[in-house]
Amino acid sequence: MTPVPLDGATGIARRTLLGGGLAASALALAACSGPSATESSAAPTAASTEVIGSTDLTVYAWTNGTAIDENFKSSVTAFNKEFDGKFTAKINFLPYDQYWQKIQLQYAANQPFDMYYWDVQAYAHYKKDLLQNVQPAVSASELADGSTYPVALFDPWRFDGTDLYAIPENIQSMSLFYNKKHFDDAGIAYPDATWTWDKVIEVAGQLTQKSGDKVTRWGLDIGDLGAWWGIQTLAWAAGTAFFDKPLEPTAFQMTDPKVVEALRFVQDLMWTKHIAPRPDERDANNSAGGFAGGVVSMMPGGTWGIASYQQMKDGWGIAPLPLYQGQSVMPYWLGGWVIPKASAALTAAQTFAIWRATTFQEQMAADHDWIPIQDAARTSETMLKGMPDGFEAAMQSLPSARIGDLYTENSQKILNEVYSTHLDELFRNKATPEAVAQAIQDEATALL
Amino acid sequence: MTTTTTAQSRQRRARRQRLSGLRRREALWCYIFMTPAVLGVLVFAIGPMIASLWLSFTDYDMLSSPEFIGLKNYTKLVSDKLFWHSLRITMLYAVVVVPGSMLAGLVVAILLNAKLPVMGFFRSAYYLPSVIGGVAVARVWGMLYNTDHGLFNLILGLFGIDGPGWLTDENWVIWSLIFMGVWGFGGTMLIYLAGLQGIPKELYEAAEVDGAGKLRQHLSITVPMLSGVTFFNLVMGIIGALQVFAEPFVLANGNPSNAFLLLPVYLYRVAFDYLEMGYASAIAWVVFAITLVLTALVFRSLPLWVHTEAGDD
Amino acid sequence: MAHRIRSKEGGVGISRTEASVRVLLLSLGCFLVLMPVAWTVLTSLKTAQQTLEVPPVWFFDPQWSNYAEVLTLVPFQNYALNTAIIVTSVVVGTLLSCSFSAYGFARLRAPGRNAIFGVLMATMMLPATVTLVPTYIAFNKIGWINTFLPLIVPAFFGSAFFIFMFRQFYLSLPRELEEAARIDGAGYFRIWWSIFLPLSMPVIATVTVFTFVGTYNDFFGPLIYLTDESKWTISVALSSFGGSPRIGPQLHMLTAATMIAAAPSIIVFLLAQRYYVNGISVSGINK
Repeated sequence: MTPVPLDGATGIARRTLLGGGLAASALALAACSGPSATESSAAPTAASTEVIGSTDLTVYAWTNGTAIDENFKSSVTAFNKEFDGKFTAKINFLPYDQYWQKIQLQYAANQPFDMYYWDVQAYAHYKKDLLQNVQPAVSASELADGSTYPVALFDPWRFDGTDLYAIPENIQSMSLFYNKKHFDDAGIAYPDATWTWDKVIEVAGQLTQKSGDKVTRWGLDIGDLGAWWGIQTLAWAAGTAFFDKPLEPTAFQMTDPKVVEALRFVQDLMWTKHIAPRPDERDANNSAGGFAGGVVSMMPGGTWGIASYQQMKDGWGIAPLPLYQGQSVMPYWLGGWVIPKASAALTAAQTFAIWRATTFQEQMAADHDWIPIQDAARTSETMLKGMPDGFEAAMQSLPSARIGDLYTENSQKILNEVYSTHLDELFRNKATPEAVAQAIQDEATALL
Repeated sequence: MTTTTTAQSRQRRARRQRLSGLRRREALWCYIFMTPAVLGVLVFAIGPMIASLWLSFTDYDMLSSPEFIGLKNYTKLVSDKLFWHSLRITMLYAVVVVPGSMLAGLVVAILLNAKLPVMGFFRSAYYLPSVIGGVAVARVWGMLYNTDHGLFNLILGLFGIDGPGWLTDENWVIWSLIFMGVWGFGGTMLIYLAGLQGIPKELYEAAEVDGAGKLRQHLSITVPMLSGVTFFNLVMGIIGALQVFAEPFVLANGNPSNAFLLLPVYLYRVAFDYLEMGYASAIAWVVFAITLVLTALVFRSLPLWVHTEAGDD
Repeated sequence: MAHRIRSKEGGVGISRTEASVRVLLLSLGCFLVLMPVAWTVLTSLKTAQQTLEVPPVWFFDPQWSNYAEVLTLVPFQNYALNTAIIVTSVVVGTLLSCSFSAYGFARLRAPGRNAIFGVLMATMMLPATVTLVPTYIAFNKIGWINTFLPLIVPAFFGSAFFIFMFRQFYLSLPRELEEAARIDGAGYFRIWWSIFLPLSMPVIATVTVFTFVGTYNDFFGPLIYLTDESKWTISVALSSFGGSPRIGPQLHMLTAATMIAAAPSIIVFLLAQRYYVNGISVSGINK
C-alpha cells in the first residue's frame, strides 16, 4: 500500500552500482574512440602481386529483393570459380537502413567491412580518410581505358580531384516513361528525342481521362521531377544548376532566376495548368504505383524503375527527357564499390570490384538488373533485348549527362531537411517558387 | 521492581535481536533474489548508458574519435526547431495513445473475461494485431489510409463523410499515427486479462447481492482491484509512447513531411543519417529526463490510487 | 498446517442477456481491430499487379502460390533451428530471471531495494538508438559479434519490463501466503518456487507470449549482431521483402511472408490461452 520512491538509496547499494557501472562504462568508452588513419595498412600498388589481407572476402550490399539478390549471389559464385585457390568471396545482404547502420557500427568498432556497395552516405567515410584510394587498381585494369569505358563520367568520384575512391560497375539515369497502350488508343505517336515539354503538356491533356469531375487517368505525373535532382535537370537545361559544383559546393544558386523559373515550371504543371496530379491526387493515384497501375500515361523517372515495371500489363517504353528551353540534360548516377583502408581483405576486395566492372559486365547485361558501365556490354544485343523501346536512344545522351548527386559531409542533412521540406511546400502550393528558392538558399548555405 | 524491569528489557532485547536476525536474513535473501537483475543492469545497461551520457557532451560521428564540446549539444537543442516540433507531437501522441490504449485494453479485457466458448476466438482476434506487427502492417496501414481509395475513407464515404487526407494532410498525420498506436492495445489488454484472473469472484457475487449494477461493480471492484496492473500499464505506456519508432518510421519513409517526425524518428535520423551521434545522445538524454520525471510522478501518486495486498515497508 | 486459497474459476459466469451484449460489443470492436489484418491477408493473395491497382481490387483469384513462392524463396528450414535456439533461450531465461528477481523486489525488504528498482526502471527510459553504439562496441570487444550470445545472455539477467510485470502481480497476492509457509519452516527460495511461481500462471503465460512474439519478430537484433547469413533467423530472412530505394516493396510477398511468419506466434498464443480461463490453480500449494 506504500509508494515506491525512486530515491532513498542506501550507501552500500549505490556504491556497488556505481563501481560496477563505471567499470562497464570504461570499457564502452575506451572502445568508442574511433579508428585512426594510421592503423590502415599500406596502400597496395597495382603493380604489386602481393596479396594484402585475407583471401576470404565478405561483400556487403543492401537487399534489392530476392530476384536481384540471386543474381548478385551467382556473380559471387562465378568469381569464386574464376579465382579458385586465390580468393573466396561470400555476400551478405541487409535491408537498406540497417545496411548503413551496420556499416557505421563496424567503423565505430574499428572493424569495417571488407567492402560495401556505394551510396552517397559513403562520401562521409571518404571525408574521414577511411576509404582506400582505388586509383592504382583501376589504372591497372581495363576500367581506365577510355575507348571501352565512359571514363569521363567517373570524375565525380575522384574526390581528391585526381584519384578514384570507389570502383564503378554500373550506371543509372533518368528517362520519360510512357504507356504505349494509352498512346496507341489515342492514335498519338510515341515520345522521342525531339519532344519538348510543351509537346508533353499538350499530349498529356489529350491522354487525361475523366469520369465526371474526377480524373481517372492522368496524362502526366511529375514523377521524379518531384525529387531535387529531377527539377535540377530543368535548371541544367536552362544553363544553370542548384549549386556551383556537385563535389564540395561552395555556393548555392537557388535564387538564380532560371532556377526559380524551373521551380515554377513544376509547380505550374500541378497547380496552374493542373495537367499533372497535385500531391493529394497523386497520393490517391500514385501511392499504389500509378504508372505501373496504368493510370498515368507519361512520367519522368529513374531508369531503376525499368526492372519494377517489367510486370506491367500494358506495353511501355522510355524516351530521353523532353527538351526544356531547347535543351535536355540527363542526370546519371554511378553504382559501385568502396573499400575501407582497414579492410581485412584489401586485395581480394579490389579484385572482386574490378572483376565485376570488367569480366562480369557481359553477364550483368544478360541479367538485366543493373545497367553495365562497360560500353560494349551496355550496348550489346543481349542488353537491348530485355530493355524497353527507347533505351538505346536514351543511353546515347550519356556522354553529356551530369552527376545527380551532391557530395558534402552533411549532404543527407541538406537534402532531407532543406531541399525535401521546402520542395514539398512548393508542390503543395504552400509557398511561391521565389520563397522556396530563398528558403533553400539561406538554410542550405547555413549548413555548408 | 527493578528486577522485573531488567528482566523485561532483557527479554525485549532478545526479541529485538531475534527480529533483526530475521530482518538480516530477509535482506540477505532479498539481495540474492535481486542479483540477476542487478548483474544485468551492471553488465549490460549501465555501461552503455554512461557512455551515451558522456557522448552527449561530445561531437561524435562514429567514424572518428569523439571530441569533447561541453554543453554545446544541449544549447543547440534549445534553438532546434525540429526538436521542439518532434517533442510537441510526441507529447500529443503519448497523451492520447497511453490512456486510449489503456481504456480500450481494459474494456475489451472485461468483456472478454467471461466463460463463453466464443471468447477463445475473440481473445485471439483482439491479440492478433500485436502478433503480426512489423513492417508489413505499417505498410498495410499506409494503404488503408489512402485518401481516395483507402478502406477508411471508403467506409466514411458510405456515411456521407468526406474522409481526410490521413497521411497527406499535415494536421491529420499525427492522428493517423495515434489511431495506429491505440490499435496496438493487444498487449495492454492481455496484461489486464491476466490481472482479471486474480480478482476473487466472490467480490462480484457479494456486490450482486447488494444490488449493484454491472457498471457499478466494475467501477467499485474491477478498477480498484486492477490498480496495480493499471499502474504497470501506465508506466510502461509512457515509456513506450516516448520511444515509438517502427510505425512512424515506415510511414515516414519517402515522405518529406515533418508531421511524421516523432522524437525517436528524429533521433534515429540525427544519429544514423546525419552521423551526429553526440547530438543524438543529448536528445536521448532529454527524452530520458522527461520519461523519468513523468514516471516518478506516477510512482509518487501511487498511494492515492493503487491497491496492493502485500504492501511493503 | 494447511493454508488454502479458495479456487477461483477464471472468467465470470454470466447470464444469457449479458452474454449476448458482450458478444455484440466484441464483434463490433473486432471488425475495427481486424480490418488491417484482413487487408494484410487480402493483399497477400493478390498478384503483384493487383496490389498496385487503384481503386483496390476486391474480388480476385486468390494467389495461394504467393505463399508457396515465399516458402521456396526463403529457406525457412535453414533458419528455423537458429530461431528456435534463440527464442527458446530467451523465453526460458526471461521467465526464470524475471520471476526470480521480481520476488525480491515485491516481497522482501532490504536497504536499497527501492533504489535498485528505480535504477532498473531507469534503464528502460533511454532510447536504444544511442546505447546501440557503445553496446555494439562492447560486444565486439569481448568477441560476441556473430554469435547468439548478445541476443540470449542478457535475457538470463532479467528484463526490467518483465521484472516490473511480475513484481506488480506478486504485490497483489495476500501476505498470509508467506506467513503460513514461514510457520511451516519453508525458506524464501521454496516460497518463491512452490507457492508464488505456481500461482503466477497468467503472468507466466503473458510473459511467454510477449517474449516469444518479441524475440521471434525481432529482425533488428539478429541483423546487427549476426554477420553470417547461416546464423540468421526467420524474421531476418523475411526482411528482404521490405523493398529498397531501387525497387519498391513487393507488397504481395511481404504480406504473405508476414502471415507465414506469424503462424508460430499465433500457435504459442493459442497454447497460452488456457491460462486466461483457468484462473489461479491451487495445486502445488503447500498443505
